[in-house]
This record gives sequence, structure tokens and C-alpha cells, in this order.
Amino acid sequence: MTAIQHIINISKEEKRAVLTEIESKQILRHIGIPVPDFRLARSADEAVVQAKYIGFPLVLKIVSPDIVHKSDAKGVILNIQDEQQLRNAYNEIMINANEYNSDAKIIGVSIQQMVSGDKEVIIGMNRDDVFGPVLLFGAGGIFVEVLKDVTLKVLPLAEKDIDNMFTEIQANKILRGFRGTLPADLLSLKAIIKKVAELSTDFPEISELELNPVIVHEQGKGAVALDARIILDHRITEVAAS
Amino acid sequence: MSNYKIIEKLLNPSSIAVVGASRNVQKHGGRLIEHLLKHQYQGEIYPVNPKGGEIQGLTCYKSIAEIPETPDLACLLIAPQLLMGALKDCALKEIKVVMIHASGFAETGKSGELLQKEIIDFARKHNIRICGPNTIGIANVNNRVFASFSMAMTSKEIPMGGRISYITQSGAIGGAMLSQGWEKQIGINKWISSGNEADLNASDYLEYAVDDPSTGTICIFLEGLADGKTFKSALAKAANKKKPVIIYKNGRSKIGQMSVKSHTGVLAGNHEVYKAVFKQYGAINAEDLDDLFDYAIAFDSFNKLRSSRIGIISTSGGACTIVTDQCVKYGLEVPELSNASIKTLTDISPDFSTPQNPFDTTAQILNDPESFKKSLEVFIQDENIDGLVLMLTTIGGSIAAKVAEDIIELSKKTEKPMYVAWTIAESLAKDGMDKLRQAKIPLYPSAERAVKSLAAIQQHMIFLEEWEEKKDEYSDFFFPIHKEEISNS
Repeated sequence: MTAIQHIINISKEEKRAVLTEIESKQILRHIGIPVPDFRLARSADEAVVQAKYIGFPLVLKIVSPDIVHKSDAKGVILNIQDEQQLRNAYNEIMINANEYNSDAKIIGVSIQQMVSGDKEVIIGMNRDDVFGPVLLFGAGGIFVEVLKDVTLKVLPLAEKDIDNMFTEIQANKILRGFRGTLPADLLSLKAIIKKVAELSTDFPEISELELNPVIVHEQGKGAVALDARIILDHRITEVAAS
Repeated sequence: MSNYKIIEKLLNPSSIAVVGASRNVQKHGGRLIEHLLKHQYQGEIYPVNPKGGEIQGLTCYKSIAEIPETPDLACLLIAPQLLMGALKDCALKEIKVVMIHASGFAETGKSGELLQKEIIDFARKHNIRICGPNTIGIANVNNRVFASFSMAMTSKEIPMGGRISYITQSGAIGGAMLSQGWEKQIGINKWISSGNEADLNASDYLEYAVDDPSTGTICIFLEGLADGKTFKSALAKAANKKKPVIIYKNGRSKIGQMSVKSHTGVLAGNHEVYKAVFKQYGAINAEDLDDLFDYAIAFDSFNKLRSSRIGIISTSGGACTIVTDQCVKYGLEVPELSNASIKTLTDISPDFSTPQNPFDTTAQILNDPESFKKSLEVFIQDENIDGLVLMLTTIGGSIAAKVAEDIIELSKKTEKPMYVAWTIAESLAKDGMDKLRQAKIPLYPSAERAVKSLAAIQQHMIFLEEWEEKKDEYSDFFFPIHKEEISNS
């Protein structure tokens, strides 16, 4: 809890509303939401060192408080197989980031374990002015806003409500197992949704949270949040303090 | 005083002060009194106007102070700048409930907002509760209280004995719909125009209606809420009591409020959140304005659907297909008839009709109206059928009344509900349609609207089962103190 508060406080001091992916994932780790192993590197050489701890294949992502949509900035490179590819990828991301926004403050890159899986979901939270935390679940990936295959719930969230979230989306057939694929690990998704709900209650400063994509494996094999975004509203704490 | 008692006083006052009373019935202060008198309000009316004298045969008092008793309710039909003075007089007179009808408050801008705040602060200090400002009034049909200047109060043949409560934030739309509902003999008993909701709000009225034993079905025209928690809590209470709450929410296309920072922000827009709340708490979402009363009459009928296997009878083969299509669309089952039913239908119907569900009585009904009644009886007795959709096409003239009477007679002998889609022009079968409405048989001008309403009932049935599973998990959140009471109810 205090570790999470610490991350929030730092961003507040720096007057940042958007946490970096690394900060967001540190918070997820604290509350027990699985994320791929990740490390920060500030140079290509550092990246090579860190890659040894994680192992190939891996993923490289830009880390900048000024670049929220990393894909738009061509700041994500997947499936890096060896050191040479890693060095090339590092340079490419730096050039892309500079082209996207030359004023952006670049912290470095995050090196992550490459996790693959074919079922992607989105789990989110948005704080509504009237109803408080709203939990979102749906078909994930880069097309979420096109497909709009999502469902929303408010608090309190009963077990049955989470079950309903799974059945209320079109993609529920895919989650249940389709054309010979095994059913997805809904229990793991359920645990993540509950943890997001708890986080939203414990930290009113968190105004938005998004895990997309969350890769869900087959039953019993878990789910992993590949990308995370947490947005804060620092006014909330100020109001509470005054 | 509890909110319940306050709203009870608002809807059923034993005496009413009308401040800003007028001889001119074209003015709000004249029209409200005219409506109270026209509908034979049983309590005392105290018109207040500095000119004194007499208004519509009633003694008019020059000030609130001069009224010989403490009225239960004061309707303040005066300009905003006179309100503070009137409120002070109400406080001295110990009046506890007021309606503020004037507009020009928070809805108009900063200065209106300040005045509204001044009024509320004063009212809080003196324990005065407010309906409005910007309310067009209330109606309580069964108790003959029509304290509103809305034209809806001039409706002819307002149905008595209704069990529907109707809460509207928009007075104009609310009043217009109310008049349409009453004209169609829909049993709207209590109506509240909540206005700006500076004090009492939609959640308070909803909770009142949930607790009110004379309310069976609740309709709300909703524009927005300030506090979601009390609203959810009232819906949870309605679910505990199995009382249907039907809500039409406007404002679905708010532009510029979307967050661009995350997909979640975009996808969890204001209207979507309202819809999600309705679904999670079992409020029935009226997607179109027509749905609001369409669903209300389905919930308000005497016979309640217990399960959703639907029997379909029509006077046309084409109509049978339309109704079946609609049932399939909403996931309603159209089962086969029992062997006994098939045999009976074969005996009573002409050779060219097929004994099945859906059943086409063919145009034979025009020659032999009794045959429709007989086939209806077969469906009612069939154990495979839980409810019926009857689609009458060009049944009009003298047969219309006979068919309607048969439906009413049989509906009294069974618990299975019947939903009638009658598609002929109203003027050609008015007699029969009026009979059905008076008997509270849900009547619709199309198969689509009939089946959509039936599906709303089925959705609510499914929700109530689900609620049993989750209500304990909710009770800690909403009713930490009264937990036992909830789980026992």
C-alpha cells in the first residue's frame, strides 16, 4: 500500500497525471496482478545487460511520460531474438520517439519477456462522476474502440456480476473455447477484475486504469497483463486533505 | 421527518397554500387552483395573494401569516425574487413542505445558482423540504390531489385505482406523456415533476415509491443524477421488493466529455454507465420513449408471466410469422402444443387451418367469432404455454367488442398473461380496445411493441433470480445496519 502511495506521490510532485508503463506495472505487481518480467534500460548497452536476466525472445517499449500511446509513436518492437536485433531495435525506437515528439522526455526503454497467446482481453476502470468506479471488460487488443465489444459494471461487484461480464460480450464464445481451443482461464481474469476493483476503492486518486491487452491462457494457466496504463487525478487527494 | 413522510405529505397533503394565487386561470397560480377544484380536492385550499378577496370561490389570504392553520404543503407560484420572502413566511408558519414552481435558477447560470443556494441554505436551517424549483407539480389520482398547472390535469377520464408511480425530471415531456398515458387508460396514480432537484431528488422519490404500498410499478424519465450511491441503493431496495422500475434516460450523445487518454475512458461514456447500472440493479431500460409506458402496462397487468414459453394466436398467417420472428429475436420460446391441444384444435377449427403454435385462426373468425375464444381456451389450458401473444389484425366493427370481451373473460379465469397486438386503426375498433385497456390487458399497436414489452418482463424475471444470488454481497455495501432485514425480506 505505502509502495503504491509512494509511486502516486512521486507523479504528483512531478505534476504528472499519467504514470509510465513501468510505474503502472509496479503497482500491478504490488496487488498481485501478473505482468511479464520487465526491466528499465537507459542505453543500448544497458539493454543488452538487462536482456541477459530476462532472456530472448523479448519486447522493447519506449518509456516516456510524454508518450501515452506507444504504438502510435512506433515505440514498441516485438519478438527480438538476439543482441544485434536488440541494439537495432533500441536505436529505431529512439529515432521513432524523436520523430513522434521531439520535445518528449525520454527515460529509456523497458525490456520485457515476450509472452504469446491468442486470446486478448481488456480490463479497465474509469471513475464516473456520478457512480464512482466503473469496471470494464471486453475483447482486447488494438481494435477495442472499433469492435466496442465491452461490458461495464459499477460497485459493488458480486461474483455473479463478474460472471455476467464474461457472458455479456460477443467474444464470450471464444473465451469458452471455440473450434477445438480449450476454455480460457476465467478464474484468473476474475481475480484480476476483483483486484482492479479493490485498487479503485483504496486509491481514489486513480481516475483511469487500463490493462490492454491481457493475454489469457487456457484454464489453469493464468492471465498476464502485457500493457498497463494508470491515470491519476491529483485534485482528488487535495480535496480529501483540505 | 423521514423522506418518506415528507413525500407522503407532498403527495397527500390535507391542506395546501397556493402562494401567487390568481383569478386568471391562464396564469399558473390560477390554473393550479382550477385543477385542484375540478378534481374535487378533499382538503383545504388557501389561496394567497396580497390583493386578498376571493379567488374561484375561495377566500384569498393577503399573506401566508394570515392562513388560519399550518398547511401541509405550500405551492410557491411566484417570481424568483419574491421567493426568499415567501420562504421566511413559510418558516414562521412552520410549513414543512413546499413546491417551488418558478424557473430561472441553477439551470440558467451563475446568479440563478446563487439564489438556489440561498434558498436551500435557508430551507435546511428551518427544516423545510423542497420539491423543485422548476417543478410543474404533482398528482395523486386516487386521493384526488392534482397540484399542478400542467395541461395534463385537464385530461378527460383520468383512470382511478392505478398502481403506477411516475417520476419525471423534465416537466414538459413528463406532463405531455402523462396526458397520453391517462388517455390510454394507463393507471398512473402518483406523478411527480422533480424539477431542478435542489433538495428532494429522483433517488428520494424512487425510494419513496419503492416503499409506498400503493405503488406497483415505477416509471422514471431521467435526465441525470447528482449522486449515484443513493440511486443504486434505492434500486437495490426495489429489487429486494421485486418492484419493477422502468427508466428512460435521455442525453446519450454527449460530445466533448470523452477522455482521450484511454480506451476505457472512451468506452465507459456517461450513457453507457447509466445503462450498465440499470442492468446490474435490474432497472428496466426503456431504449425508446414509447417503451416507458409500453413496459409499464405489461408489468401493471393482473396476470403475471412466470416463465417464458409463449403461445401465439392470430387472425392472419403473416401476423403469426411476425410475432414468432419477434419472439425468436428476444430469445423467447415458442413451444409445440401438447397432443391434447392439437386434437382439440383439429376438432374445432376449419380444415384449412393447421393446429400448431403459432396458430392462425384464419378469416373464419369473421364468420364465427366464437372460434377465436375456443382456440384461446385451448392455449390457456395447454401446460406447455406460460403466456400468450394475440395478434388481431383487421378485427373491427361489431366483432371487435365481442373479441375483447372474450379475452377479458378468459383472462380472469387464468393466471397466464395475454399481450394483445391489435393493428387495425384505433377508430375502427375503439370499443374493443377501450375495453381491453380498462381491464388492464396490455394492448399494443404492433407485434414488435407487444413482444418487446413481454421480453422486458422476461428480462426482469431473470434479473430477480440473479438478485437472489447476489443480494447478500450487495447488502453490506448499501445497508450495513439493516442487513438482517434485507436477507429476511
